[in-house]
Amino acid sequence: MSANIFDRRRVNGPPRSVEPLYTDEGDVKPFTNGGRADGRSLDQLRPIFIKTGPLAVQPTFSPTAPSGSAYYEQGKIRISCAVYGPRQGRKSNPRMGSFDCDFQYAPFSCSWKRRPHIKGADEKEIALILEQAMAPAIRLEAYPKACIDAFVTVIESDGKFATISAAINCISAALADAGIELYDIVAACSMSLNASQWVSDCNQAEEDVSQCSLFVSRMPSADEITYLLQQGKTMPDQTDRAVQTCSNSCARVYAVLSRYLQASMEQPAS
Amino acid sequence: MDVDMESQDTRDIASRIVTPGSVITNDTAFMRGHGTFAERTTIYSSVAGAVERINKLVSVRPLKQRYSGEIGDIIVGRITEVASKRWRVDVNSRQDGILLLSSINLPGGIQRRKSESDELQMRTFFAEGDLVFAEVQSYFADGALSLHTRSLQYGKLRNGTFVTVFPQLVPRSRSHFHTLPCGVDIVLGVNGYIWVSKHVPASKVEENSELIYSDKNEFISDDERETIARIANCIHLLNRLYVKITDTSIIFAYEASLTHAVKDLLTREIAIDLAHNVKTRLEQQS
Repeated sequence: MSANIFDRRRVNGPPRSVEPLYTDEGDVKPFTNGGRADGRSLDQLRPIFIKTGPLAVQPTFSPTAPSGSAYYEQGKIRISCAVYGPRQGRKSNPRMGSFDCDFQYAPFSCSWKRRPHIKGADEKEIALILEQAMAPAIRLEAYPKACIDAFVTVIESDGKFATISAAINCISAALADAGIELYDIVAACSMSLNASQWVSDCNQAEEDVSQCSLFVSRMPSADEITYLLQQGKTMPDQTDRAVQTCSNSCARVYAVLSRYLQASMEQPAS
Repeated sequence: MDVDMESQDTRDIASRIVTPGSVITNDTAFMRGHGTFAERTTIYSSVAGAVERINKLVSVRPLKQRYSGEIGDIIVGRITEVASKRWRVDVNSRQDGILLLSSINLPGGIQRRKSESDELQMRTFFAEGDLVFAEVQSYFADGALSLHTRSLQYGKLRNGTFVTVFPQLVPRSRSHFHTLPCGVDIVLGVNGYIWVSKHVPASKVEENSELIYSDKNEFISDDERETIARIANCIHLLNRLYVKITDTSIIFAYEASLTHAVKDLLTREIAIDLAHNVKTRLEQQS
């Protein structure tokens, strides 16, 4: 391309391009001879990592900084959440505070396709699910006329249901970090049905081949379920069993969350 | 004092770290305070923090909390909206505070009736984004704070820089306006907003009442700017390392910081070193 006919209206790539090298993951079957590809047992969760306060802006601790934030990892899932408030909102209910949630996949977060930066219908739907799962745990009547906002960004996702439940855990940690009054910490866990066997905390490959996925979010010390979502067909007794197992897993997630929060209170980050 | 004759279980209530939803006590003798909620006879924690007990009142103090105002508090706020006969002020609280036109001093004539022309030129007193130094006068029915600036020491802030800290680090004290020996004025708002500015003698403002609502900075020399920046950084580091912020702690931090350049004060090692220094000096003093 000669210089005088250079097209300035478009992004011009280099004249020569090289195809990127792909790592060949092969055609990994998620379930081979009864076990899982990553070697976990059927009810084993992926390891969890939490950190509160990663988004507190330092040193300029400014009024625009979130009042609480959290970063959460579960296997390959990486989520960050910022909580603002309680603060003055545009809509104000004189009796109760309002809780709003915003959920967004980062453009590079889903390995199978690039996400547009404009929110899709599924992101809005998940935001609504998160709102409904978290709202019962927040003491909104303690914050009349105020507004609490949570902004969730998925940095890497691995399994839709697992990502939603990880997002719930992440919001819980961020709300607790912000010092917002809660009835309980909400812990969530997902499950999928594969060959009439329930498998906990499935990743994308495992969810893809499953006939049914569900997640349960729970307030373990209050012993209440705040949200239950199932996609796919099962027999009623199968769902019963799954909810039972999920509840147990939630208790384990809860233990991790509360142990972390206690430790972070004793040793405030500098 | 039946409180002293309690079982082992209830005596270790205090100074325990709890998370939301954890049981604090089943004993009906206790009353629930802030940061807790009760269901039937059990008291649960609603925030993550340390349990505190004063006689029979059990409360949980979180690490971070938003400012909740009390009448008489001296605060710093930022105007967010000019409404009819009032300004909305961000006071780092759950709701915006409100500053009524009738609770400010108008230039010229302390007790002048507020006329319609004052309503029309409200922006000449306070415009959006201005910082105000005010006192909490009362609450509105919905819990919003009503502020007033009816004293010459209150009013618009200028000639300086703004610092935000955790509100619980600023204790309520007799005076919240200090002139430090290094020639810097500080306003310690109990809502966690702090203003650090060049020292301007009060007599100068009293002489010329037009200065109360002035938007213009006075001339600030490079040395003064550096001192202001140093004080601001000292407050930042005290906040970061969770040290009480009072005029004494700021002076201690300032004196200890003089051996370092202003820009290095917030590096981790120096900050920890200085904060430790301030803590030991504060302990020696008390």
